[in-house]
Amino acid sequence: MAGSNSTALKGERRTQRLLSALLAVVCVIWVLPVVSVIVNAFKLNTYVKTETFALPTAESFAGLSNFVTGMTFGNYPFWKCIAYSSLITIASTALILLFCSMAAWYIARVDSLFCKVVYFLCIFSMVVPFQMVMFTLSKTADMLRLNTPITIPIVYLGFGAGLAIFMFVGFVKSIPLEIEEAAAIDGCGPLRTFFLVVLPMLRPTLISVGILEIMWVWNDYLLPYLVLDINTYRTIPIHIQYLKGSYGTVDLGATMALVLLAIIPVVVFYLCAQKYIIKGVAAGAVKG
Amino acid sequence: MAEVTLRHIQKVYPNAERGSKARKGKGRPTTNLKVTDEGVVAVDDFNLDIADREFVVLVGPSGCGKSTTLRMVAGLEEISGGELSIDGRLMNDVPAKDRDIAMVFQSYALYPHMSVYDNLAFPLKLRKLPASEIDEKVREAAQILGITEYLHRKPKALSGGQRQRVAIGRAIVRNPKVLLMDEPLSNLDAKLRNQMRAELIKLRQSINTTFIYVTHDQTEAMTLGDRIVIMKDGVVQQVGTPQEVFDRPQNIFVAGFIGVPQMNFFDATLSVKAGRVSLAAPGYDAVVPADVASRIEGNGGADGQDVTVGVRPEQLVISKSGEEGSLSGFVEVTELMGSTVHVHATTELGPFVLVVPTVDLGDASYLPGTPLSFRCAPGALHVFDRATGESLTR
Repeated sequence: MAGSNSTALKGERRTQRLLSALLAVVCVIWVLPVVSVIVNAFKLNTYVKTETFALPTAESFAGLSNFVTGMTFGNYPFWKCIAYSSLITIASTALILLFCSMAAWYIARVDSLFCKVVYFLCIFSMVVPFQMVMFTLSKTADMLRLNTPITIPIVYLGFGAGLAIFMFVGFVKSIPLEIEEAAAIDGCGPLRTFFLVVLPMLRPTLISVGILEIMWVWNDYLLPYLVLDINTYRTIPIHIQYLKGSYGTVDLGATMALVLLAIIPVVVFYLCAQKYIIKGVAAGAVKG
Repeated sequence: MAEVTLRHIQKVYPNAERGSKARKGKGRPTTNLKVTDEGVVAVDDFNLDIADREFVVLVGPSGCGKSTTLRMVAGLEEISGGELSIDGRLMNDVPAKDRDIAMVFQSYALYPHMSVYDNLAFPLKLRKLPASEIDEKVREAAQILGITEYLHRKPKALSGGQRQRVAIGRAIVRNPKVLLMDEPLSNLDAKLRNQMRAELIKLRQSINTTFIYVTHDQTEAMTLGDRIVIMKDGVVQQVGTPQEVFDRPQNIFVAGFIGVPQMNFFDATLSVKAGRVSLAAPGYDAVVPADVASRIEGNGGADGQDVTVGVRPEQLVISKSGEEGSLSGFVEVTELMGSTVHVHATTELGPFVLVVPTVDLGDASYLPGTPLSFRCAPGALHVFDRATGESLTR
């Protein structure tokens, strides 16, 4: 009996070791592109193509020249790209968090056909690929003058609403109704109930939805490319694309440097708030 | 401090699912609630005048409409019909926040993101009271309820009893006209519930407000209330002081609901002959005492009428076998409750429960199967019309 137990235990350990090794390989494959971006951002352009995965040597090390080249490239100031990317990301995320949490509260608490239809449409919007609607969308955005960094967050609000409302509704349903009734008796109208009682309780979901939306909007290339007048307004991903010159020449070192600059804020933000992502997603999914 | 008047209050829930359920063959009603064309009547023709500073308890089984009535008073449920007035002002269409009431919920309903202090201060802040006054009132309420040391804590760091105290504190902190309590002790364990019940009695003496309290626990109702409103299927069965509803139940439902252990019932036939009222059942024949007899006659008791006789377990007395008006049977099981023993006996008329004081046991042993005779204490009989369930001895 004891012998069979120890054999089983050994077998289990071996399986665990194999799994660990397999996952380690997967992790390396996963991390490799990021590592190559970091490594190549500090290498001279010629070495990027020939020694892609090698660490910079004394000969290939470019210092910060790639960053300088990338940021001063063309006649469009890079700081404007950072400003537009930041403005669009912050405004879009704020709009999504505010309006979607309010909408989700209404959908979760009011039992009507209208709410059911709206909720269904939100879920439906998550399964429609962006490519299906992008041409009609760019035309509509032009007509409605949603083609500036100030107004494009409204387009993002529309696209981000599906996932955000889905997550918020799941969480709101887990909040006992008595708390809102207690607030009503204590003297709150609907607005105060929402802002003083419901919204603070939505914090875990607000953070996780916020992180997901920030990562999406900051990294998004296609939507601003289609909607914005790219000669006037460029986000970082659009600007990086311009490093690809005519006749297929690409300054890969400078591209990598700008890619690195673009991913740093999101990675730092994610690392700071990753525990909330898992908590918020789980809360929305399970408690709903 | 306020008078609360409920006149012909009605709550009807529109029966939206009736059509689809009927199609699926699931249209059978699952409750005894009245169903009209408008929907299910959860509360029907509720009338009550609650005096200033009175403690009224709404009691009844689950689904009897007691919480719905309370929620209508709170403004959390729309009133389908009738009039609700607080201090003479019609409140039917007044929002909950403007009724100057407070409510304690069964699930505490504390704000989880706020500390105990902020929970207590929240209703005062909404009323824009000066910070110094808020602080004074919060600390006063915390002191009354013994939660001063927890003021900085979040609700999740409190036990059930402490959370309930905070919920009560949030309700009393702003001196509401009416304090509503919806089964506030139901989530507590038995020991804590007894302790909190005593504290509620003390609290009631220290604050001047009108209380409306909902419970399904008749012990809470009897110990806390100045008056008790007993409800069943959305209809008020009886309103009275605890003593009144215990001594003179209006109908068989009230008689069975109030009192632990439950009242014993058996079927009998009424005999009214020349001013002499007696009850006859197989193996039982008893002449009813004069005062009870006059009440039976006064309430229309007729010769040959089928009745249900009720007698409380503590009003059954052990007697000698064959004694006039006594019942004979066998002990089925006994439960030692401490100061009393509950003896469950089977007789020809059905099962009976007797409450025998432990000090009276003497050498008697009530082992299962032991023959037993007992009779009713004089004047302890309750007689109900078997057809209507109404009391003939009220």
